[in-house]
Amino acid sequence: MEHISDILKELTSENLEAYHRILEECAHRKNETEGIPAVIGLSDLTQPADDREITYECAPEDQELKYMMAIGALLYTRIFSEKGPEELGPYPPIAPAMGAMASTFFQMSEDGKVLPYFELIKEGDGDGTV
Amino acid sequence: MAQFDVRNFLSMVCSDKRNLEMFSHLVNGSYIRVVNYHNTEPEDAARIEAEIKYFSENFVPVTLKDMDTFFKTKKWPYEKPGLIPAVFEGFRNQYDVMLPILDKYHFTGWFYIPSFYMDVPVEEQMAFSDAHELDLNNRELYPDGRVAMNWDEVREVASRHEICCHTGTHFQIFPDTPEEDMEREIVLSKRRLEEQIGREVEVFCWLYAEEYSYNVRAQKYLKEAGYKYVLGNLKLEKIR
Repeated sequence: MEHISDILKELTSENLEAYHRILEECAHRKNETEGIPAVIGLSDLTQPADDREITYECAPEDQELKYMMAIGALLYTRIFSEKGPEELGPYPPIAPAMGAMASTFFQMSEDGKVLPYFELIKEGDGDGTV
Repeated sequence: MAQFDVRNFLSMVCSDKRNLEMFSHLVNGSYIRVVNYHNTEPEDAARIEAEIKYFSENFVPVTLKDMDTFFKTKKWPYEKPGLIPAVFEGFRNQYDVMLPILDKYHFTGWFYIPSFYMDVPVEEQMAFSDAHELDLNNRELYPDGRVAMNWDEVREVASRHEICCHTGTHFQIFPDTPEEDMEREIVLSKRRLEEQIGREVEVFCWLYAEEYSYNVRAQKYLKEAGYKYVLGNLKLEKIR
């Protein structure tokens, strides 16, 4: 338990500022017109229940990132669980948490740096020939 | 967050089984990235193009066949992670702006279509949108009032991208939704879409965070309709 506690404390203290910056960005984005990152779980209900938790082999660059995503999702869930139903709407806290997590841990660079969604996409990078 | 209480944190985690389910999906690698879009308007075209261009350079597009393979083999079949641009509501601005961008970068989009939206007479489409939470951003974009794709446009989208059924009328289905509404919004909506695009529609998409296992009464209709996948905000569930 102490080990888990240490990991969580380390992750939160290191990323506290980044987490709140992402939440601020999420709060100001326009859901009607902007691309909203999310991560959705895959469940094979055609398989017996005991086999459903089997490990999938994801793309190589996600092998490390997925653990950060998992912890990040729970940390964001804690933040959203403190909000009232008027802020959450029809969603459980894990739903906006997964969105915030997806924005935070969107990609991992080759040198192991976590790349948030908001820092990746720069307007006008296309060549405009559409 | 500043004063981190592990006991309190674990209590919160265990308070809703969906928290642990999603944690499990992430740790076990059973997930897929999506980026959700609704209105894609000309004034945002440069930003949207930058996004799709970035996706095309850093991720691989995802088809339903890829998902079939991933579920079957439990191994992602490409070197780069997959990413799905999920395009909701069947707005005309998606045909005009998002479709050419996706085509330019050869990136597969998944279009979630409320099947009966295309059948609404043009002069009623604005009111229908307002009544069914089909949230248009720029209401002046199309002076003729046609804000939904027409069937020709849906067929063109379907020729190069994935088409999914997003109910018939953008209808939220609850566990106590009447039978006739479930039949219309789950079964008849799929048939209408298939009639028009000329091929099977394999994905049903709920509104909001509904799940297959939470809505037992809807299961009968989802099976009767013949869907293979059911998508909510948190999960893509393979049911066939």
